[in-house]
Amino acid sequence: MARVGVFICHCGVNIAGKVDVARVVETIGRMPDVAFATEYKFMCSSPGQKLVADAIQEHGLNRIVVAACSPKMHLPTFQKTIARAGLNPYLISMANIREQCSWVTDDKEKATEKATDLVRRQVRRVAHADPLEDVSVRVEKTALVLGGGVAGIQAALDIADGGRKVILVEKSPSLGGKMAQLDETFPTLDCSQCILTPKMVEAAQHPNIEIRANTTLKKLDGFVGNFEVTLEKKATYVDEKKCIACGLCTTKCPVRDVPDEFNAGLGKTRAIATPFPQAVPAIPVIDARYCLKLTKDKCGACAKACQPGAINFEDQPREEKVQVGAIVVATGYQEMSPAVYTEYGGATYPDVLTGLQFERLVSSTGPTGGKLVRPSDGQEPKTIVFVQCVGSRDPSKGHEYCSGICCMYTAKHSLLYKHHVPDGQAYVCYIDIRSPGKNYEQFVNRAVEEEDVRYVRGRVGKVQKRDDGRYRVYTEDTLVGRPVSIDADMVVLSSAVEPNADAARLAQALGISYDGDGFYTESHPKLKPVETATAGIFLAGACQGPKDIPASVQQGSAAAAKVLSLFSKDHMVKAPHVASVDAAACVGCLACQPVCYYSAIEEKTVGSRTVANVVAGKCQGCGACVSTCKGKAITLAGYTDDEVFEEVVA
Amino acid sequence: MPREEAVKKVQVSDRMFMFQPCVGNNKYPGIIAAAVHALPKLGVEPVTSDEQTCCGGFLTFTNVAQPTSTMPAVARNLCLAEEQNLDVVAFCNGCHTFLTEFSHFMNDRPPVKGVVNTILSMIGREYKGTSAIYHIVEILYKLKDRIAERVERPLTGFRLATHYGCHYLNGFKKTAIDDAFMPTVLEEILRACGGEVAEYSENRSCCGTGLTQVILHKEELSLPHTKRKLENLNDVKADAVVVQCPYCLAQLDRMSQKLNSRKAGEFHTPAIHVIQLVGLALGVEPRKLGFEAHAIPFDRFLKKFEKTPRGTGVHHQDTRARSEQQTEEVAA
Repeated sequence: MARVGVFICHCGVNIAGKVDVARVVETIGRMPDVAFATEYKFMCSSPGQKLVADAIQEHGLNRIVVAACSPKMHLPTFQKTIARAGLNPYLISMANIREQCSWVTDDKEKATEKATDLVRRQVRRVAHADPLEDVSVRVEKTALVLGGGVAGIQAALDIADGGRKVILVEKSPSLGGKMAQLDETFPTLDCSQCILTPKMVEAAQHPNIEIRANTTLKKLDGFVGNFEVTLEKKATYVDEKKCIACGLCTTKCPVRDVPDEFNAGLGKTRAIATPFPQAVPAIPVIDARYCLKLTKDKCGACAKACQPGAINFEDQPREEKVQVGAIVVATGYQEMSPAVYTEYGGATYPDVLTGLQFERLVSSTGPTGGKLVRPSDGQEPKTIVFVQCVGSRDPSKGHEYCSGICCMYTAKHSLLYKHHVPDGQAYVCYIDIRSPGKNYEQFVNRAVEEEDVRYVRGRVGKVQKRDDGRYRVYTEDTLVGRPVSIDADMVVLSSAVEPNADAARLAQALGISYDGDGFYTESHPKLKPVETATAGIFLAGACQGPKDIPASVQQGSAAAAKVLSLFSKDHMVKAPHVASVDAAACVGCLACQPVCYYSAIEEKTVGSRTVANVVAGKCQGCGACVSTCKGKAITLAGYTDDEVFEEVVA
Repeated sequence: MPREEAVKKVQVSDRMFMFQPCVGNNKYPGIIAAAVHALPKLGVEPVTSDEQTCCGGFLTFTNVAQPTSTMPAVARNLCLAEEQNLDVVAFCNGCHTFLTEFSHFMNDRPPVKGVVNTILSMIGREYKGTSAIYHIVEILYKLKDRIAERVERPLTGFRLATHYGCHYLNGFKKTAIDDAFMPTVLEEILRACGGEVAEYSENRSCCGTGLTQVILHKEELSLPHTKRKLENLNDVKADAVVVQCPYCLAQLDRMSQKLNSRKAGEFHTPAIHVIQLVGLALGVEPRKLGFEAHAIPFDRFLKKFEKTPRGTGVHHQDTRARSEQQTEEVAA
């Protein structure tokens, strides 16, 4: 015999301001099965919980309904309360009379009516609930980090230092990400590679870290603590086990005009090469689009030169399955192509560069060996204009959001420019200067005050290529209120930070959400900044939104802390809401198998019959199989027909 | 860089309604003559109508008339093409923008179309919105391979500057076949004629006529602007500047004359409409192309033209190779 206790929360005036709580108590109190009904100002407070515990003892209650806010907020609170009072924690039901009731109407009468309705349904439902036991699952204490940029490296190192195994996956041939392409970093002007490469080497040498370069995630199965990940390694045509990274193959390669992706398209590389000298791993890869052997079946010079015989022209993409307990997504960003802004000629004029291209041009490992010269004629640019917000803060052609890093890196670029060309003049065309970081504002001031960088406030209208090979930048000085044009030798566009081209595909494979701009969404913007809505998957770095290096590193460490806390237990508790098949009723049609998103249904032989079987560890309790089964052979614990229909018809 | 999706929508027919521009008719009859003689050589028969009036753009651009009062006039002109099941080809950026913009406005808004048709019913006509409206440059761009094949007088050695005109590229961006800031279709057409492109800085700037508002303001406002463009054309020593709008043509041509007469400079770069240029290349006799109406004489240009070798498709191998190369570059 069910003895239901009903507790109605006022939530201050949040509920009681609209719902006549006393009337709900009175109506519900008259229902059969209800042994006790009461109200309280804040059910979630300690006295509120004590009220529940005491009532269980006093009135011999064996089922509880709490009518308050969303079960997302406080169901776990009350489950713990009734468990302490000796009840099974699944014999409770919450009626949400706040979010979808009191908060959404001004009509007190209707609010009370709806609240009564909602509570009545939960009373009927809980009266038919069965006690359930939590499922305990083993935690696989290996983490997967997707993305070998600075955020991913930081996360991997922290997890590895915490004593757990890490598989660090990078889609390009080397770790390093965007930071490896940078020359110096703001606001301290320390050399980017000098501070990054030690971390790359540390990751490579760490006993707990395995690096998978040239690899992407193809498929994800399983759930928190027990993910099964399918990785795909691209065909690189170089056997990394045999290669000794001597670099002889690169020197022998006759194809010299391969656009250098690491140098952001400036300069040329060979068809077999490592992206940059400090690459980790230092194994070269063959670019199949340019290799003569692979495109025309000629040459093979690298294979002849390779002493260890590491070159394999028959290489194919390879899949690998790994078991991990948690995943850190640190896939970074891409620089928006300036091709949309034809008025600036970023994709047409040789000396109109993007921020990343400028970075490579001044870098000592860049295409000019660190000499700042114009790509068109090799001359030193005596006047340079930096154009801000190309694709940022521009919903009409680019993105609505602010890319966040451009103000600072442009201040840095202008300083670097002055260090390369002390007698040159730098201009920055900006809308606003955003420098809200430690020592950031001082850094911008340093550019203006010490290096005489001229900041012109206004949006650039167009960049015109002049007959003398210079570029006339038409803009406006909104502080003076006059149109301005500047003749420059080089123009640098601060192209927007945007999500990677395959960001949406990866999000779909991982089952995580992304926002309208394509950045991955954190679970809570303030309180859960590195969690995703999918348990066990965490975010770090610019894949979650535009970020500079310090913020990316912070997030990498934060994600690592979350992973380590998950890995601190050997087993984790999983809610008991899983489906089960009644083998006697199952006819073995297996119609349930294709509808299961989690691949949790397998075939089982019982005697001479084939029946379906749900693997409890994989089941997420979505109920798709239950509604598909025509013979009603599948039941979902906590959502039996009995419970659901009682709730519906009540 | 042409916008491929917009280029795909352009359909060239055997017969097309030739929408005559009034600036062309009044000031530069060579434009109409060139179309009449050149288009048939490309397999397009231009059809005209004596009933056609001015597009009405002038009235609206100069704020003389409300758009609502010129709209029935636009609809009536389009009816002339519709009644013969013809698509319209305009020779002026103004006509093109105005016809396109207003036809889209009416087509997208049935109540407006209804009001316009009520007015048209008084003269026994009905506007349906069935005719497509193209600019001559779109048609020529579509036919550029045919031009290259049928060239009789390749413009070898001619250095030609281009001028697009603001109202085409920026006027109605939904249908314009090229990018507003980096257009190249004219260049491709004149290369198909065998000419060379003379690049110059001020290519993308306005001719100045938009600033003039010729009727309402004194042209002094825009003269410095036009002068800057003309000076730049002198710098690059172009044989001619190729335009696609009679209005731009008038500004560049007549303001050169005006500046010369004021001794404000020496400007002798002739301005030529793209259909006149294509006409020349296709072997239309220069005397049929009305160059006498131009204020800046074509003497030097035509003397040079006389010396160019005759011969069908002399260069077209070259053009095709170049366009294939470009296609590959785009694909890469």
